[in-house]
Amino acid sequence: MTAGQLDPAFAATARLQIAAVLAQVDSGEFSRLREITGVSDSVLSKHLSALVEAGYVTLSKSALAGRQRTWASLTKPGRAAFTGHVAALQAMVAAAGAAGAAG
Amino acid sequence: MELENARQALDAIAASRSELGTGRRDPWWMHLFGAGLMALIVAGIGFGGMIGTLAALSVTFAAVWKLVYDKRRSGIALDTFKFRQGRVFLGLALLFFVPLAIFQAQVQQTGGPDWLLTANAVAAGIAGAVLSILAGRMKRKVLVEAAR
Repeated sequence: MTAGQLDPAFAATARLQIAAVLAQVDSGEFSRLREITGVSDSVLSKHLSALVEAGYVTLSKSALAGRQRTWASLTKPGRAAFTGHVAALQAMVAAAGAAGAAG
Repeated sequence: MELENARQALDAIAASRSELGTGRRDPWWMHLFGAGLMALIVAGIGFGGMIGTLAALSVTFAAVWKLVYDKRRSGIALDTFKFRQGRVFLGLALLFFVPLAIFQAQVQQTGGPDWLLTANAVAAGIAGAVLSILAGRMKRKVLVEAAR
């Protein structure tokens, strides 16, 4: 596995959590993402907008139980960036572990 | 400090994924709906003279629809059929209903008694409820698997 690159788009924990959820599924509904990240509607909205702006997430609307819902999906570049970001984090932690064991 | 941030970020990812794995339980009316739908399909073959193939297609459609509906209701959409459980569920649905549908069509064609047609439709209803419960469990398992 090649070590990826840290991506500033995932610097905020909530954005990382959003990407972590969306990387596992096809799409996630706004309220479910809010439950998982534990942030308010407006904060989640801002994070999603930032990810949309980066080209990592797409948003779509669909009716569910008579109400309009927003669904978010990770784009292909978003998935790649997230995978790279996680790989970079894991490499960082592994390197620190190895240095600790050597020292 | 950067290392600590990296650890925290990885922890946050793991926490989000495990949160994703907590699928919600289906309400009782969903199972009632599943039972009613399947009973109606099989009853329709017996009393309305529909052919078994059409019934099997309807059942397949209903099973797929239920899976799609379930995953969207939980606020998470994923391709259930990427997962083994999804394919097993569809297999089970066909295993339950194709023989029931064919049997019902045969009874209807040979002019069998009404009580047999009714009993078969009731059996399909019970099987529908069981399948609906299984679909709910399958969905939660899929979510847990997706979280890994």
